[in-house]
Amino acid sequence: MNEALVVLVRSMIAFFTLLIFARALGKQQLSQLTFFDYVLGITVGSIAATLSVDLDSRAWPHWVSLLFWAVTALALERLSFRRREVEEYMSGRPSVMIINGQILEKEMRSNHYAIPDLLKQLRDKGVFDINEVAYGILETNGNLSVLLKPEFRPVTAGDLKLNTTSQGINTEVIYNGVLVPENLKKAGRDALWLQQALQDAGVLSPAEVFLMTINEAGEVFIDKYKDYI
Amino acid sequence: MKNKVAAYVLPVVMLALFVLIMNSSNLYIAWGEAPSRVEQQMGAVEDAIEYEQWENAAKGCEELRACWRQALTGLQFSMEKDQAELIEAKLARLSAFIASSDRVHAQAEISELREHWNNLNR
Repeated sequence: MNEALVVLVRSMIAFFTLLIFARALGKQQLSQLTFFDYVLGITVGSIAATLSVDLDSRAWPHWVSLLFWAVTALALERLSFRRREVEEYMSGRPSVMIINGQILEKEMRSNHYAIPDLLKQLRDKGVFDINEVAYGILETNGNLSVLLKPEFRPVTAGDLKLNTTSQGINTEVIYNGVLVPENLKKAGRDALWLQQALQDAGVLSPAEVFLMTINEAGEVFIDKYKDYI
Repeated sequence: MKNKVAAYVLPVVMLALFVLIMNSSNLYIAWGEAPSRVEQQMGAVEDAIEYEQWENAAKGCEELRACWRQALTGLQFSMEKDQAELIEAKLARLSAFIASSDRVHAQAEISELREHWNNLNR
């Protein structure tokens, strides 16, 4: 048996299977890790590793196990989306820890949430005085969301009654030297406009550009490969 | 349209290919040329041992080993390493029993070898 070749093939199977299943499970798995998601990730990773290198067992049973975990997680995710009670059972509920500068000790105790954890999370949010907090909510993924009292919130353009224009989001038109035609079209621009914009920036072709973006206000950002930094 | 193919069809095709690779031994044993030669050689060795034709049995055993090694190149992606090593060990023992013209042990060994071969991946 050519062990290196077999490990290579099994690793490719494990890698791309995990990639496909992770994409199927969606971005939520990455951004909002609850304890169950964490355990799921570890288990699935462990199964994939065994599938890759454990030559003393066949790949097929491990792959079936991987499939089961992924399909079950996906099914529960879909069910959670439709039924609130399932979501609450799976992920738990957010808990209010602070109301109007007052800490709710009972909630802290029931969530096994210690004072150092609370203070650290507040400091991470730039809050050094609990008196400034209107609401502090412990989310299901362990993050603390903080709503400051109105007098401590940063001033916004709306507060000052200033007229503002929306910049919109930036769209990549050139990515790593390659033109993205569908994005150019989405931005309502054509090849002629692009040529002019590049000329204005002293660039001869898209191949010289590392990144070019345009926003809804028509503002262009160009980063060239040869920017001498 | 291209994005839909990439998003849906390609992953399904890849997963189907993986399932095929992981279960390839069953298909290979059923339809492959090398596995069928292994079966034929096992039969020939069994007959040679039965009639105590030790020279033929020894030659047959060597050819059986060569056929097995050829079949292994296709089977290795969907079988356990232990199974492969066990069959190699069985072939070595069979060769030794044939060399010492030990009919009883040689028959026992070839029977066990056939059993292991039949039970591959079950």
